[in-house]
Order: sequence, then C-alpha cells, then structure tokens
Amino acid sequence: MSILQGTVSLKRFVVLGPVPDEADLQAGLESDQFRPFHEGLEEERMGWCDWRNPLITPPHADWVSQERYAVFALRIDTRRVPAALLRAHVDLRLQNLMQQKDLAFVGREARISLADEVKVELLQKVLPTPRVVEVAWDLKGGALWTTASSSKAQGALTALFMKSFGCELQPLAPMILAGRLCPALTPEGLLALDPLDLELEEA
Amino acid sequence: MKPLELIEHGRFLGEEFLLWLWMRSMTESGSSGADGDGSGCYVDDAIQLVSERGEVKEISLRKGNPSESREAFEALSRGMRPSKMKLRILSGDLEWVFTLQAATLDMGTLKLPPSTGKAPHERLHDRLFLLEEGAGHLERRLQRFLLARSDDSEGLQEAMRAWVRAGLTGEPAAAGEAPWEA
Repeated sequence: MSILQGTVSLKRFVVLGPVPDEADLQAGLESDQFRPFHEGLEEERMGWCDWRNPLITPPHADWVSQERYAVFALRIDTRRVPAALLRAHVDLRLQNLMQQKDLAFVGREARISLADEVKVELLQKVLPTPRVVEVAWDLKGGALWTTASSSKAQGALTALFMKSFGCELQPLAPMILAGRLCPALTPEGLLALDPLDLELEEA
Repeated sequence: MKPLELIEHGRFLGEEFLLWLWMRSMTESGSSGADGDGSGCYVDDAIQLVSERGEVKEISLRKGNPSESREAFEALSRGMRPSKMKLRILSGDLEWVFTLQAATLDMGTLKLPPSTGKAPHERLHDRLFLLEEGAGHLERRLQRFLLARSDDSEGLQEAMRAWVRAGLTGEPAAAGEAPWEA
C-alpha cells in the first residue's frame, strides 16, 4: 500500500515542536538515513529513504520538498535465521567440535559463543525483509500522514522522528482532533463529556 | 494526559461520531449540514459493533445493506456501538471509500478518486490533494457533530434514540433529496 497508488491505510499525527528549515530537515534525514546490514548479530535496521525508491538513501532533497509537504519514507529491514535451522547448525558444529577435540561435553559459555558464531555466519546468507512506511509531513499545518499501520512501525517512526528532527508525534485521536477543529471547546469541557445513553429500556 | 489515555478517553466520542454519520446517512441523505456543502457521506457494506457488556461483545455485519438491517438496530438498542464502519463519501464526480476506526479515526483501505497525474510527483500532488479533500469532508462533519454534542447532548441523545426506535420498528427513515441533487 502506498500514498502514491492503490488503496492505502493512513494514520495521522500532530507534530509538536519547532518545524525545521529545509537544511535542518535534510540534515536529519541524512544523519539517520537507512544503512544496510553489515556483519554482526543485528536483526533489525531502520532509517530514512526516498519515497520513490527505498534504495535511494539519503532521500533526495529535491524530491523531499513537495509544495508544503516534506515527503520521505522510513525503511525497516529485518533479517532472521529460522530457529530450527540455527539449532540444527549449532548441534552439528558442537558434535564436530567434540569429536575433533575429544571432549565429553562443552560448557555453557562456549556453547553460546559457538551459537553466536554460527548465527553471524548464517545472517550473512539471509536476505533482509524490507518494509517501507511512507511519510507526508505537512510543514505548515503541523500534521503528518503515514502508512505506518502497525503499532510497532508507528513506534519506530515516532522514536526516529524525535531523534532526527526533535519533534514529537502525537496520534490525532478524536479528543485531539476535536480540540483542533473546535477551538471553542475547551479540553476540560471535552474531558467532562459523558457517553450518550442509547440503550433502549424495552430492548 | 498521555496519547494512549487520550485515545482511550476519546473512544466513545469516535463511536458516537460514527453513529451520527450513520444516522445522517439515513435521515439527511448523508449531508454534512454545512452551508454550500453538496457532499454526501454514506455507510457502505460493513459495520462492526462492540459492547463491553452482554454475552456478545462484537458483531460484524457485512455485505448487503447492514446499515438498514434489523440486526444492526437490535444491536444498537442493546447499547452496542459502532467501532468500525465502511464509509463512502461522494462530492460531485469524486468518491472516497474507506473504513473509519472509531477509537483513532484512522482511515483504512482508503480508495481515493482517480489521479490524472502521470509523473510520480504529479501523482503524489494529486493524491495528497485528494487525501486532504477527503479528510476535509470528514472533518466538516466531525465539527458539526461536536458542536451538536456539546451544545445539546440531551437533544442529540433523544434524536439518536428515536432513530434507533424507528429502525427497530422498520419505519421508513426520513427521506430527502441527495445533497448533490438539491
């Protein structure tokens, strides 16, 4: 699903904090741009990329700025070694080790270290699964549309957004939207409202 | 108040807004009630109702015409409230179809009117414009609902109860011209 085509599921946030100028915006996107996995045990990586193509990093400044919007994307890559496969490889490696060194058993720490070693090797062979979440930030209106539908993706977006731009994202839920649409309604007044009783006695 | 608390606290407002949209789609031809607004908002073919009490906590009514079904009004009369509803907004030749969540007012599986742009940035501008237009239609209605809700809660409650009663007895809803035909 994409803002660019087809059906799309959208979440809206209010952006709280000073709006960065174009240079600061680009600096934030560059410093936290998506960087691919290298060696190590890392299973998840995330960062900003271009909305046109997740392989374009950092997002291209000319394409980020779209009238009053800043448009970019958050790429979240995950890579996992299936647990059963990891266990099978580790077992085999342990048996070989015990045979070669004529050991009766291998201690816990050595087992963990061996499992990590095998995992690092296998992670190099696993292709990451990329997930791209689009972001359209209305710089003048102080709102942000995103295709992040899961709470995990929303959490990742909120955290990285704060890190990169120093702005907080707050979900535009009914209470907050009510305050924006009807400034005459005070937050106290809204919070004091009780649900309507619509149950019919005769039902 | 934390964001999650705000969402939880405002859930009933979202549910009542969905109910208000539903009522107006049947009694006011889906109009927003705002001057000069010729758009219409209708309940499409999916409604999910929830309740914290009773033996049944959730009912999903899909396909056919659930918004006018007896099952829907029976559930409403037992105090169940819409938590999710598929809506169709029409304005001139443009049409938006989406599922509206009561708790968050998120728009799911939103189908926007077709874009005429060919280049990616043209299409993006078109789609953002259409997105704002669709959200604008919804927000105009939310604003009207909130004013009615805060100015005359009892009146709104009575109007909704009368509408549910009429739906239960199968009385025809007050028909009006579709706003774009007026």
